[in-house]
Amino acid sequence: MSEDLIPIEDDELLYRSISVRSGHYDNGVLSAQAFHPNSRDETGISVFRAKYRPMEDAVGPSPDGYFVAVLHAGELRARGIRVEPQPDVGGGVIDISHAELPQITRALKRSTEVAELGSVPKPIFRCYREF
Amino acid sequence: MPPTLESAVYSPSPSVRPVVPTEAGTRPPVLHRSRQRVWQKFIDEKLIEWATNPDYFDNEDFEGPSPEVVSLALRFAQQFRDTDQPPPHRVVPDADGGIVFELTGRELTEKIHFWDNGDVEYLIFRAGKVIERQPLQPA
Repeated sequence: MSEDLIPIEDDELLYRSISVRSGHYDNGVLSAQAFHPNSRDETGISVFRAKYRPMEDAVGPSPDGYFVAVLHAGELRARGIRVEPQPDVGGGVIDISHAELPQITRALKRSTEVAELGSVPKPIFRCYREF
Repeated sequence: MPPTLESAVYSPSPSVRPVVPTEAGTRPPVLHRSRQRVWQKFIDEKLIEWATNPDYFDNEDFEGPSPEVVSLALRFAQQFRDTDQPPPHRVVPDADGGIVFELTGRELTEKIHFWDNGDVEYLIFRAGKVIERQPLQPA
């Protein structure tokens, strides 16, 4: 499987959807909680690769809509955050647009490392638009 | 010096002493009411909303806080309100069944994290690094 992975280049952009209802992006300020793992994030929190998925398809069914944070792979890596392709999204479904930040997992959610990774200085996250 | 979320149940580090000016046991009444209003807004618009509308996070791609965690956070918020603590800038779900009170200052970010299992922690960040972390207990 690993030989089938399409590497993420440093100049790639990545999308992280943030529901309006979560309150994680408010008044121009992004909360570190937007990068907190949930119950499905066993191998890392999800992001989508802009080169393979339109921004409007990076969102879910929340009734109040979404913001999309645009991340730069090289900037994440420069700040110690790994980003890796993870096309296996479960249920036998392969999605080449799916990637993960593998240091931020549910098993480690209470670790200081995860708390700090979520608190990476905000300028690398650009909240782009609301859907 | 930034404001702090410290409470009567927490002994803060010297670096995060409260900035509330007090004189002979009096409190500044305008500031007091303002703080109480902000706390009350979070209580009404977030915590009570979540408590009375358990379906609120059903269509999110994360797990909302349980009624027990909301109740716990509500007790803390009421205590902070009633003891004139600086209010947070936001009250948000943590995406895995918990709640976080966040207060972002010029240099420090303070958080009170109500975890999904009922644990409560106080964390202080400086430049994205945790510089203090300790459990909190309800009074």
